[in-house]
This record gives sequence, structure tokens and C-alpha cells, in this order.
Amino acid sequence: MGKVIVITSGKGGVGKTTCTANLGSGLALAGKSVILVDADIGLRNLDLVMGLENRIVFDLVDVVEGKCRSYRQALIKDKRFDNLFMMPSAQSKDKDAVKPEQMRDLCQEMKESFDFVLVDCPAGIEMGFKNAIAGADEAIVVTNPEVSAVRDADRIVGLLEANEMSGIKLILNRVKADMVRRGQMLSVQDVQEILNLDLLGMIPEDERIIHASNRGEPAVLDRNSRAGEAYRQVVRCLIDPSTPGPSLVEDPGLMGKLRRFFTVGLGSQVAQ
Amino acid sequence: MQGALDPIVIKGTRFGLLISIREDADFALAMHSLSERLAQEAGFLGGASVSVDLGWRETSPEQFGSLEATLAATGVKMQGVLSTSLATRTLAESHGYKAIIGRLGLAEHQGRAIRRQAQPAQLEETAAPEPEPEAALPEPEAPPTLAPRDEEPTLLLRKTLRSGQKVIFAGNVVVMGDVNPGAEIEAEGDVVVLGTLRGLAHAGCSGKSDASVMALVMQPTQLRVGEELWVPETSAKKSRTGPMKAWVRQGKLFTEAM
Repeated sequence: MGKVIVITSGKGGVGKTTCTANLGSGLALAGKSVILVDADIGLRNLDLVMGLENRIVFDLVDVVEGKCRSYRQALIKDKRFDNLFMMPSAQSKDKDAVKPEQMRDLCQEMKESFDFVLVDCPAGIEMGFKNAIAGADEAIVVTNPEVSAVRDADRIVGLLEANEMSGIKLILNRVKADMVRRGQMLSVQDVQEILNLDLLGMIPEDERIIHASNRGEPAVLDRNSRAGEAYRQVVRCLIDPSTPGPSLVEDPGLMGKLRRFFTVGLGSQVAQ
Repeated sequence: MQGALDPIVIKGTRFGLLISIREDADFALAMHSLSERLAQEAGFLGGASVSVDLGWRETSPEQFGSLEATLAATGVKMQGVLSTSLATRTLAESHGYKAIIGRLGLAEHQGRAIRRQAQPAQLEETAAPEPEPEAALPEPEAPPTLAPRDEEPTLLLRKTLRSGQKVIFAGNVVVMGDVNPGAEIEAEGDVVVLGTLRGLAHAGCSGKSDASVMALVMQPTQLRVGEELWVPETSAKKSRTGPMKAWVRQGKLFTEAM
């Protein structure tokens, strides 16, 4: 029996879909069987980020309306991994096309044969949110170090708690370490003072993410991406919760590289 | 969370708990919603005495019977009935309940919403001429004595109130946790936050100006006591730590270290 995890934020544009795509690919890379469910009916995006748009035949609404034999008929297999699938959402319907009970049943059915079911929640706190969390066992709240995003995340956490969701974890996305250092951006401590959740990961701001999303290639597979490395840390934490907590993967910069070069050099001299 | 079309509103008042049943709602539906709500809050309401506001509805004997049964099923005792309909009042009296002419619950909710909309106008009056309320205390006057308020019920919340969550209570409210920005407390008595108060707190919301707000860490978005209002300066937001108390003296709201 697997786990259903909803990825939610309240505010739009903080990186829920990117996060879903990357965690899904990362889990698949680690050998887990995964389904990514796009619950954003009417504004489907996950297929683009995964680069699977042109393979869609059936969608989530077709499944709940019983237009396919089983939900498996609507699943799209990923290009890169045989154990990664995606359930696309409908583009021409709206959020009311699905009821929370239907989502609960569908998630229940999916987790019986997969290790992880990741549900990409739409922005907002209306029907789409209620649908997305209906079948979830756990929740990952994604937020940015900005007051508006943190405020919305706090609202979402309140709603999740009211729905008796346990295991609510936090991913702080688009962290700019240098701005935090200059005191121009909320730090992890500032965010945690309000939200006070288990911190699952800190994803640094990385231009490669935008490029990767536009190409439909999740950054988690890019060995040179700092954000990708941060996502790989989160994946390790998801598989084994005893893994030590997150650390910020920083861009060492030129001086950092020089410093590292010299410390390594000194270290080796001492060893001699 | 009570939606606009919720047929039932449960509310604490000076006279105890008041259940308002929307006059225009289907009665059977309202009873169903009532029994659900009572079941949810059984721990809080079990054994409580309540008054029921039936508004202008002409309640039939069958409807009244089902109301009695619904309340009895969760162990809630009906004290009296509030109604503007003579038929409903006569019926309640014939069942041995006290009946009062009136229609309080939902009407008062609406009244409060209107009052709140009108409030921002006071903002300049009370906040602007008092730039440094903590430092500007000319002669330290004895703070109002903490008279025992045994007659007022107290609500104890063992959690953090998050953005969008709102507590309305006819009595004192004690929060064992934080009150985050975007969360609101409206209490007819005092508000005590055993944590950081970052949201909005309104003590003495029914106009009682001897109420106070206390917090271990005071960083509110806004404070209200009685009819007075205080907006902290943004720059001073994190300057002072340690327990603080806000209370009204000579018609102005002050905060001071405790």
C-alpha cells in the first residue's frame, strides 16, 4: 500500500507543479512506482512540465465519469522512466466536474498498486483544493520566502488541520541565499516562526529550473542543477524520513570555489 | 467556519449559548445541520444550557418537537426561546420553556459586520495623535484592578490560530499557542495569548472598555479594546519583546510591558 501526498500552496505561482514533476521524477529515479495526478482541472500544466502533452487521450474527468475501463487507461507513461505515470487533468472542464468523494475513491484505488501518488493541487481554497486533498494521506505545503506566499500557506495549513490532515510538511521554494544574507528576503527562521511545520526541503532559486520546465525535462535529473540537488535531498527524505534534514545548496561563486580550492590544498599538505 | 447560508449559527452571548435557526431555511434541513454541529462540538457543548433563537418563524408543534428531540439527543438543555412570532412563543411556553420576544442571533451578526466596516474611519483619530503610546505615559496610573470575572465563561484554545481562522466568544479567550497574521479573535471579555500575537485581537467587543489584551510576545496587526483601536508602527514591530498588556485609559488604548 502506497501513500497519497498532496502538493499544495494556496497562492499560485510558487512552484507546486514544478515541485510535483521533480519529486515524481526523483522518486522514480530512486526506483519507486509513482503516479502524478494533475488536479488542476481547466488549467492543466503538469503534462507540459513533464513533456507529455501530446500523449494525452483520456483525462481525470473521463475517469471519474466512467468513460474509460479503468483509471489505468488514462495513465500516461513517462518518456524516461517505466515506473512513472501521469494522470492528466481535463482542459475544457472546470473544478466542479469532480467531487471530493470521487477523488477519494480514485486515490484509494491508485495507492493500492503504486508506492507514491502525488497530487498537484490547484491554487486557491475552493472546490479544486477540496478535491485535491480529499484522498490525501499527507500534505506538502510549498511556499516562497515572501510574506504573501507565507500568509496563504498559513491559511492552507489551517484548512488542512481542520480536515484532520496529519504529516503536513514544508518545502521552501525559490530561496535566494544572498538576499537572505543581506536581510532582504525572509529567512527560513522567519517563515518557520509563522508556519512551524516540518521542513522537508529548501530549493534555491535556479534559472535552470525555468529552462528545464520549458523543455519538459525535470531539473531533478540534471546533475549540474542546484535546485535539482535540493530536490534529490527531498526525495531521500520522502523515502526515508530518518534522513538528516535539509541544507541549502548554495552557489559557491568564484570566491567560494577559490576558497574551497585552497582549503582542500592546505588540507592535503597537512596530511602529508 | 460558518458559511453565509449555514442554517444554524451557534454563538456565545452574555446570557449563555444561543443557537440561531435561520428563519428562511428549511426546518428539517436546519435540524439535520444542528445535530451534525452538536455532534461535532459535543465535547464543548455537552450538558450546556442553550437558548434558541427561532426568529419570526411560526414553528409548528411537530417542528418544535423535533427541535427538542435534537437537543435532547446530544444532552443539551434548552433554557428558553427567543422569537418574534406569538404562535412560536405560546407553543414554547406550553412546553414549559421561557419565551422572550426578540430576534437576536443573525440580526446581531449582521449588525456587527456593519460596525466593523465603519471602524477604519476611527483609525486616524485614535492612532495618529498617539505616536509612542508606551513612552507617553505621563503619570503611571494604577492599571484597572483585575476584578474577578467569574460570571464570564472562558474559552481555552490549545492550538495556534492560523490565517483565516476566527474565534468569536462571549467571554474571555485564552490561546495556548500563537495567533498568526490574518487570524482574528473577538471576545466580549479579555484576550490572553500564551505565545505570539501577530493577528488581530478585539477584547471587550461588545463595548466593554475595561477589558484588556495580553500576550507573551505582542506583535499584532491591530488591537481593539472596546471601541478603541491601536495600530502598531511598522518599524517598531519587533522592537519590544516580553509580555505586554493593552488596555484603555482615558479613552485611549495603550500597550505597556507587564
